[in-house]
Amino acid sequence: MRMGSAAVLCLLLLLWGAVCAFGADRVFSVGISQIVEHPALDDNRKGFIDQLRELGYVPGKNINYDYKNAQNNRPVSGQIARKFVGDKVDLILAISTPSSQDAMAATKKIPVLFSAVTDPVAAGLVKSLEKPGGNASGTMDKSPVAAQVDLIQTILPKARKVGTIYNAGEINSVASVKDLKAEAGKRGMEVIEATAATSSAVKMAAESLVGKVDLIHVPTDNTAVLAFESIVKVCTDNKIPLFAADVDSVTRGAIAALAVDYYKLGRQTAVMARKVLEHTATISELPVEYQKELLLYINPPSAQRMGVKLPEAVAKRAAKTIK
Amino acid sequence: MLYIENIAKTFHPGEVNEVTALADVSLHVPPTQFLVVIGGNGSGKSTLLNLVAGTFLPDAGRIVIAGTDFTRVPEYRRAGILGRVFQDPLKGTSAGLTIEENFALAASRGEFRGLSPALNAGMRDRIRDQLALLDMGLEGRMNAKVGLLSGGQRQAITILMAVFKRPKVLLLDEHTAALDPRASRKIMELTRRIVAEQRLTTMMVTHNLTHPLEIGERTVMMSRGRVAHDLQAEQLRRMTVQDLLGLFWQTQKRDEDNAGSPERMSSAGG
Amino acid sequence: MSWYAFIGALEAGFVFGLMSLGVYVTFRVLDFPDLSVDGTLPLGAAVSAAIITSGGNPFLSVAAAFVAGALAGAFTGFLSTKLKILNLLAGILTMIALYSINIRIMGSPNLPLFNQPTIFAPFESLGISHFVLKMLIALAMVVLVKIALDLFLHTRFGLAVRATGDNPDMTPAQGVNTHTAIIVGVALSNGMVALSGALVAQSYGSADVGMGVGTIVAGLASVIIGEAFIGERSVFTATLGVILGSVIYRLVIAAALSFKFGSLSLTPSDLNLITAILVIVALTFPQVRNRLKVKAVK
Repeated sequence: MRMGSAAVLCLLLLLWGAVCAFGADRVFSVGISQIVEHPALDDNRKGFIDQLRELGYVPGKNINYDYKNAQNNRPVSGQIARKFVGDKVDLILAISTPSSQDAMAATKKIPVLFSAVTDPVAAGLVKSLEKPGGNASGTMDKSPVAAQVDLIQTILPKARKVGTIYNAGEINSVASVKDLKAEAGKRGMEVIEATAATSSAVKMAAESLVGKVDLIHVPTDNTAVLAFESIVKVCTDNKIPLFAADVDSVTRGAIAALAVDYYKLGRQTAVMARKVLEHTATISELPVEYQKELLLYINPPSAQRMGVKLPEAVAKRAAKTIK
Repeated sequence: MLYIENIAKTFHPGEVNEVTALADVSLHVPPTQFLVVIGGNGSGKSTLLNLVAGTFLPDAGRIVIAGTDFTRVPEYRRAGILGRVFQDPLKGTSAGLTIEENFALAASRGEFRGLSPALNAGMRDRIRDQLALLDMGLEGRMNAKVGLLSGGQRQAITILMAVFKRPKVLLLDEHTAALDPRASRKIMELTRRIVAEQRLTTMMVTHNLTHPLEIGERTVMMSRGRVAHDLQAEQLRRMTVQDLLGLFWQTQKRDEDNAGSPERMSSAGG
Repeated sequence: MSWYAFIGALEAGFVFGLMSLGVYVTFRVLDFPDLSVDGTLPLGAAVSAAIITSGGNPFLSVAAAFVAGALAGAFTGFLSTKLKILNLLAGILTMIALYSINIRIMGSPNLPLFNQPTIFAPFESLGISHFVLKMLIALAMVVLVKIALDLFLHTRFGLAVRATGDNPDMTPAQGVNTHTAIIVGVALSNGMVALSGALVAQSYGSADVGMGVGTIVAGLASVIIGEAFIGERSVFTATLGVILGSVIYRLVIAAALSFKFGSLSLTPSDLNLITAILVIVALTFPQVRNRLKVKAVK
């Protein structure tokens, strides 16, 4: 009899523990800190929420989101992080490098998942991509230069000279061009640079490449992208195929671009979030992830004007084809 | 004490609104003299005072004060040997500073301004004594912001600040013109008392024709950028306000008749 | 608002209070609307972070940040006085120039300070929880700087700076070189702003080239709120008001972040509106108070 009741008690305790472990009746709270309103970052957040919903986390039911946008104001971003820590949320989703750093500065206990961070190691968020070692991990949005060069080779197998236009004052562009040179070098191609300090100098930079290059690849450079139409004009007039590193530029006249899909990156982050919430992984051991599936936009009319025919295989892969 | 030699000043040279404010003026003010400068609008009397003060620099000529050539020295570096009171009572003091702080500002005139405390007990005693002379009750309000005081009170403080370091030359720029008659009289009395007590060399610009007779030392009448009359004490003693006014109109009329003549155009070189 | 968020707001109030004191010196003391501060706050952060990450002493890095900020401020003053560039434009020029310079100093647009020594580290053995400790150190810093500023504004040179802002006509007549007074005043102001930036970087864990956005708005709001609450009877009360204004500003933001009424919750995108309302209230509050006083007397 005694043994029996003890066994029942044990069973009950186990059951209770199991219920707690699976979190069946638990409502999670997630604080989302985003540095600024931007289409890419907004997509990233939507992707995260949509994916978690598909994984069974329904907002208002078993998960609550507290979304705060700092409007590009860094002190406010710091205060947002402190609010989430004070509210003892279960997880902080930090979208962008500064938001992630502010979250990390506010807590060493609450798990921080970051997204849309270009270089989490350089930003001090993780010790290494494979083994973060702290309370943060997430997904990164580094421009996929290798895949971009592969795409160029698929479309233009004979191309040897890659022209590129960027502002030498933009640190991200300088890094991208460095990567571009390395990747092109591996494939026996040469990179010819033209720099423009202001958007008004972009056209001249493009003209300086005419006759010297087989194609032009524009990185995610604010200056060059601002004056993208002037590059399109020079390329159309001189039949130089033009590639971009952001999909938006394809609608503006580039023939193709392979870029990070921020919505999907958000979904990828959500899968990591589930592991953290359900304790199936420890955040300090959870490797940082790259984008698995890149976004391809193509513009066949533009390609025709620049004297290129897009291969069928590429056209099939495209997420969007500009008509 | 104050030598002004062949001073000339033209504003906006080469432009349509070119104005020859002073055309070759020379004056010598001996020590302890109280010189009164009168003249109509645009006669150059204020320009003359501003050139002595260093508000702007002359095109030609020299300004020597107490044996030193100050012709091209900026205003703030002349301040150590000059005392100046403006027409606008709001211009001479700093409204946001307290009464004693305004005096402390004046006390550092011509000295290096370092990071030592601006006020100390000794200076406060001196300021209190000075304020007591005014008989305005200000010695009990040394911590009050100057902005709270009336125009007359502010002008009185400006005068005390101007003479706080016994200047070589005291410059008064129509300093009673903006006050009501009662305050104006009081400020004039104060001015005369202080100038007499400290035996200061003074140059006062005014458009009030009773002032030359009241002070009665020496009066210069300016017209069209030149000295029209230089009246000494004995001449002034024989004159009335009516006489001065007559002289003034006569000068005005003569200059109007000459206006536009080639002689005037080339006057700057004369 | 949680306890943690409250302490965090206090800390931000004190740290950015240093910046607001700088803004007070230009806007109120010198009457010089200086926009350099949007560049000198990240400059201070950049200098401090660059020194710390290359193995320098965190305290030394704070001093170096002050000096760097002061030099940048002196440049603004120089542009305005000696080159006769409109003061607003002079500040904007310094601000945009600093954007490039700050990236140069850091070698990248962002420099993290996680796991690096900071000025907070030596005090961690005191047994106070980390976030309270940071708040207390920020408080100590802002009080120290406030007292130093109060003393400075009562020195012979400090009076000259105040008079230059108050009445630029009279100061040359009192032997003050107004150019020097303006250049030194703007330098001092930006030194304090950069000092604030250095503390922000060390407390928030990184220096970022974009962290200066909105500095001038926060600084002005703090100055104006402080004046509404404490008034500006003297330098001592005015600077106290500035710090109080900064704390109130940060508390209001923290409260707005936690505000929820039914389904209506405020987001930071409403903050600009809240700031504007706060400043309008602060600007009109003294008038309303005076009117009430007059009525009471009657």
